[in-house]
Formats: sequence, structure tokens, C-alpha cells
Amino acid sequence: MGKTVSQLWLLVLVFLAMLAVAPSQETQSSGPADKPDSAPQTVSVSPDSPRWSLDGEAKPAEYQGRKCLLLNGGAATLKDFEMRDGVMDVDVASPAKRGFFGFDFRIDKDGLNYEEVYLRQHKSGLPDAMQYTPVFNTGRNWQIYNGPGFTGTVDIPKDVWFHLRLEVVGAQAKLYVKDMDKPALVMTDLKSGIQKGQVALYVLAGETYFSNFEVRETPEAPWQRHLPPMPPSTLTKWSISPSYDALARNLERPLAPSDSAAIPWQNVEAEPPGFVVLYRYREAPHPRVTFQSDFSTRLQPQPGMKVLYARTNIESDRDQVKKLEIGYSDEVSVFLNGKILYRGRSAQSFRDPGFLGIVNPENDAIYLPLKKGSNELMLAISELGGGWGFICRLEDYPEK
Amino acid sequence: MVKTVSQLSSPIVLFLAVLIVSLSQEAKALALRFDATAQSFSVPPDSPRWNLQGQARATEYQGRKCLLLKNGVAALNDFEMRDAVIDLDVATPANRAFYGIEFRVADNGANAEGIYLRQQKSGLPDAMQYTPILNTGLNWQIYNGPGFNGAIDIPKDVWFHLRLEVVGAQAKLYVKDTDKPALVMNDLKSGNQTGQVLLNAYAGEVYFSNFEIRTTPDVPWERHLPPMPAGTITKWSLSPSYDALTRNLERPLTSSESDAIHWQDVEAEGPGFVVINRYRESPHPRTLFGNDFYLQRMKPQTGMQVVYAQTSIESDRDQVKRLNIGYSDDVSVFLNGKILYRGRSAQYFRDPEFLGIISPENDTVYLPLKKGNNELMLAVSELGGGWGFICCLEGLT
Repeated sequence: MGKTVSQLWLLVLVFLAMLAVAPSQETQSSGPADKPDSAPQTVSVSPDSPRWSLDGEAKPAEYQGRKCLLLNGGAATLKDFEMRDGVMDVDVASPAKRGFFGFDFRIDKDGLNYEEVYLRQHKSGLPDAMQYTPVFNTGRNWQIYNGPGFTGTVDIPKDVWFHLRLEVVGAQAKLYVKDMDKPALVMTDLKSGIQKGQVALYVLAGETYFSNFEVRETPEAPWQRHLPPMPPSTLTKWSISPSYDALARNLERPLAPSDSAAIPWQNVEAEPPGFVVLYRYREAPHPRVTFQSDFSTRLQPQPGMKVLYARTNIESDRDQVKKLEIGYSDEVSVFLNGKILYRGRSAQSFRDPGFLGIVNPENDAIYLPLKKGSNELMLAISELGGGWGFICRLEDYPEK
Repeated sequence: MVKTVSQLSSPIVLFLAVLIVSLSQEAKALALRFDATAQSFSVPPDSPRWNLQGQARATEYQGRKCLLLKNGVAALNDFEMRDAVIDLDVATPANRAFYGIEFRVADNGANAEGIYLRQQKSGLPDAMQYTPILNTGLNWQIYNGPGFNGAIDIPKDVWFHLRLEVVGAQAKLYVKDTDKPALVMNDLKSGNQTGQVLLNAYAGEVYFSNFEIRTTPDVPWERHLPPMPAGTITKWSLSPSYDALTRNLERPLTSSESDAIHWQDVEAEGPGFVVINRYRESPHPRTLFGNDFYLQRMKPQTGMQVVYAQTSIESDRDQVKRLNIGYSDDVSVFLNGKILYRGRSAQYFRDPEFLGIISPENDTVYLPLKKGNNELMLAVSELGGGWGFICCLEGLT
């Protein structure tokens, strides 16, 4: 009896070794798309497998008696494997007080765009303990994608192995933390639009250990986006300028007409519920922001900050005041018909040391003195990190 | 789960009611004691000198006789202090708690100085807080940064020592280490020169033992107000306080309303704050979105109060000037009867942990001034944590 079991294990090991040697033929030539009727296959990848492509601080290790992968400002990407729908299982443990760790999935060919879900160790028990965000042009967008479907509360164990499972099904996904019966975070609408790509384990910061990694592809579900509604007052049609070094510009000044005429404006459209997500169109800056670690430096210029201009036209049938509800990240200047009306600063950690800078149209309103005819609304939007974008709604302000 | 500092209010109010009675009885004794020379005494947990309010009782914790406070207050009867050193040990098993010392408590508890630790902020820049209590309201959204808060590691479930040295218009708080102050308060803001002492704890159970107090000779009273930057708008007139939900906050006061109001002239204090809690009773509503950000924050918050503040800006020509404005909690900005901007910055409003610190560097409204006299009016509403604003006017280059 004992002998039979050990022989079975030997067979499994041999099979896994074969998989490790010949993964590309296995997965790339005949994905589930080609063989929807094939039985689901579970692939486990050991910490020291050559199938892991390791970047940054990333190496096989042992932690609390387990063979595992250690990541700390690093990633382990599974080679020769692309996934549309599937289930990823892994055990994770972290002794770090502060850490960000999780899964990347549907990583595109150049590695710049993908989906990401992660835990914030230091936010255990708080509303942003878990985060889903798409990554566009290397930039995370958690300041834009926030709230139900994006963030959630969970108690994150410290220094103890616990289980994570990610189920990816079409344009939806579910993250399970510890409890495999009830998802901790339900992602109702995956934002990148990428339908298939590589998977990785990822740690932005904080020593984190991963073991017992398994992935299993599942049959493709229909692709159904669940976009939120777009309020009718949303300003949806915008043109955006190229991206500039923000420190080289006077952000209280609108673009001169000659500057404006020389620019190749790019037409873009807001996505529901009204966000213009600029990382979709422009490379994300990654400066080191001094006031994130030292609040007293918050008024110092931050080299590496980028700015772009966004403009739209507002037609008015008469001279009237309308209310512009605006959310922005990280900073904004609002110009109407070439005149500045407002400037707001909401970078992460700028308003208080723990300030997040979530983009939200209910925080600030500017009352626009529109003239009869066409009015040009221009925004200068600058960015340090966390999500570059804005949302604008134009509401009536009834003259009483 | 998430308790707000503003929820400190209801126990404070409860405590005030009882304090009124006790203070009147003790007034004579206080006056007598106050002239006495320096004295030092300890007050055991079961002493009748403690006036206990809310959840407050003598108990034992980790082998020590002590006072347990949880949403409770222990005020020292028959004693007033100007300058003094207060020593005590504290311990808490709570994950989340606010606890500390109020001193120079006056006006039946409405005005005082307060220092407290935020257990859940251990190691963070706001682990310790000093704030004056003005008309029952805390003002940590206004008084923030060096001199008001600081980072410290707060022990959990272990007895540790607190010492408060109050010297004229300054004070020092020592936490664990009695050699080096953890928080130096270089300008006490209430203006109270004498008053009672009390211990308090909110949101979590906290134990206090080995309480001792030693009065020290009066030192000269020297305020250290920060400088007032050029451009600060210092002269304002305040309206009475109104129920914010009964008003359309996007509308300025009509001229007939404005004419009927008894406007109170006030002056900003360095570095430019108009601290409305100095002049108006602080509201203490229960803020819904403190507990449920995503579902509650847009709902009307019953109990919110609003005050209008107006000033005049003279301009020698038609021009645009920059108005750097910090406010708490919400503001509408009107120039010459027209609304220009509305901002909302209550605690927890911009994100679930948002503080709503007042700072003039966050928002700038560009004012189209006309030649002559311009009327700037603000509608400033308040839920808690500090009611006020700061305005600085700068030319555009």
C-alpha cells in the first residue's frame, strides 16, 4: 500500500518535471480556447523551478519550515504560460509591518499593461486592506479605481502562512483571502481590457514569502463588461495634449493660443462613471516624492512631476453660471475661456500624511461663468503617482 | 468599529453638566488653595477627590490599583492649577483609544487645554496631539504639525509613564522617557491661565495609576504666536451659527438677511486662522460616514452648523488675485454676491482615513476683483474636529 502511494508520487513528480521542461508546447500551442472540452489542468510550480522568471529582489528561500519564494521589491513571472480564465492558489506569509503583495495577471506582451490585485499589510482591517487596480503604461490607478469592486477590508495575518486564491473569469475576478468559501474582494469589471496574458507574483515592498503556488486554467466564460452608469451631466469628450515636465511650466497660465495650435491634440472619451484615465494614453511618471516620507517637504517642487492639458467645449445658449463638479489627480488648474478660476492640490500624502488623493467629483465644485456660445474649458492636470486622471460633471446652478 | 475623535464630544457634554454643580460648590475652597505655595500630592484611584463621569471606576490592572476609564472622565475636585507637573502611569489593552489629560479646564469644562494619545496611531505623525478645547470643541484640524502633534511609539498592554509639565503659556509632554519631552507645546492656545485637571479616555479601556501633581511657581506669561504672513486676511465679521441643513449653501446671504444679522468682528490669529470655535458653540453631531464611507458620505449630516464670514477687499483696479484658502469642514466662497467655489473637507470625507487638516496651500480660488470695494463672503460649515478657516490674498505675476 505504502509502496503504491510512493510510486504514484514518483509518477506525479516525473510528470511535473516534464511539464517544467516542456511548458511552452503544453500551454501556448493548445490553450483552453482551442480545447474548451479538455479537462482543467492544475500546474504547480515549485519555488526553485526554472519556470519562474525572477526580477528585483526575488529568490527561493525557506521560511517557517517551508520551501518558498522570497520577494521584496520583486516579481516572479511564470514563463511560457498565458492565461485568460483560471484559478491561482498560493500560500503567503510576511513578517513585514508594511508591505504590498499580490498577483499580476493578464500581463501584456511588453509587460507595461496588466491587472493587479494586492494586499496592503499595514492597512489590515481598514477599507483599503485589499486593492484591485489595472496597470496602464506601468502606472497603478488606485486613486481612480476605488471603493466597491476595487478595495475592501480584510484582516491580514502577520508572520503566519495563509492562503490566497484568485479566480479570473472573463471580465470579472474574485480574490479569496484565508476563507475559500467566500470571496474577500469581488472585481465586477476588470479595467485593462486585456483578455489574456502572463501571471506573476509581485511584491512592491516588504519581505514576503510565497509557497504552494498552483494555477489551473478554466474554460473561457463569455466576455461581459459591467461598466457603471455614466451620469448624463458628465463631460465625456476631451482632447489631451502631450505630457510635459510640470516644473518647466507655469501651471497658473493657460496654454497660449499659439502653443495650443501647435499641439497634436488627441481626442479621448471618458469611461463610466466619467473618468478620463490618463495612464491609458500617457506613460506614468515614477518620481520619488519627498513628502510621502517627510510631510514637512510637501511644498517643495517635486522633480519628475508631469503635466498635461485637457480641453473640451461647452456650448451655452445664454450667459449663465453652471456648476462644474471636478475630481482630479494629482493636481489641477481650471481655466475657462483662457482665465484661471481654481487650482487644487491632492497628491497622495499632500493634504495630510496619510491622505490618499482619491479622485471623486463630490469634493470640489467650481462655478463657471459661461458666455453664450462656445466656451473652452481647459484643465492642467499634473501627476506624481497613483493614478492620473479627472472626472467632470456640469450641473445646473439655477439662477434664483 | 471606527470611532471618531469628534465622538469625544458626548461624554464631554455629559461631564460638563455635572461639573457645573461641583464647581459652584468648590469655588470658595479653590480660591483659598490657589494662593497657597507650591504643593505636591498624590491621589489614589479610590480617592473621593476624583469626580468620575461616564464609564469610570477604581479597579485593579496588572497587579496595580488604578482608575479604569472607557468613554469616561476623572476630574480632580477641589483643585485648580496654573503651572504644575503632572505624573501618572497609563496602560491600555485597546487597539483603538484616545486618552490623556485636560488641564486648565475652565468655564464648566467648555474651555481647556488637552493632550491625548491616539493608540491606533502609534508610530505615526499624529500619535500625540495637543489641542485647546474651545466652547466644547476640539481643534486638531486647525492646530496641527510641530507644537501640536508628533510621532511616538505607544506601548500596548504595558504600564508606561506620562509626565506633563505646564509652565506659563508653554507645556511639555513626556512619554515613557522623562529626560526628553516627546511633545513640546510652545504656545498654549486657549488663553486659560488656571483651571481644573482631569483624565479622560475614549473608544477603548484605559487604566491610570500613580497619579501625582506638583504645583510650581508661576512663570511670566509669554505667548509664542507664529508670524502672520503678508497677504493674510485678518479682519472678518462672523454671523450667528445656523443649522446648515436649513440653508442653501450655494447661495450667499441676501442683503436683507445680511442687514438683519448682528455681525461680530473678529481677528485672525497668527499664522492667520479664524478659529470659529472661539466664538460659537461647537457642534457635536454623530457623523455617519465615519463608519461607512462609501454609502454614507453624501447623505445630509444632521447637526451640521454653518457660519457666514465676511470681509472687504479694496482693489485699486480691476484685477485677478489669488485667494489661498484652507477651511474646515466645508466652504462656499462668494465674491460680490456670486459663488465661485465650494469645497468639502470634513474628517473622513475625501477618503476613509482623511483628516481634513486646514492648510492654505491645498486650494486656490482666483478672485476677479473690481476696482474699489469687494465683498468676500464664506459659508463655513462644521461637523467636528475644529471649525475655522485661513485666507491669504496674493497678487498674480
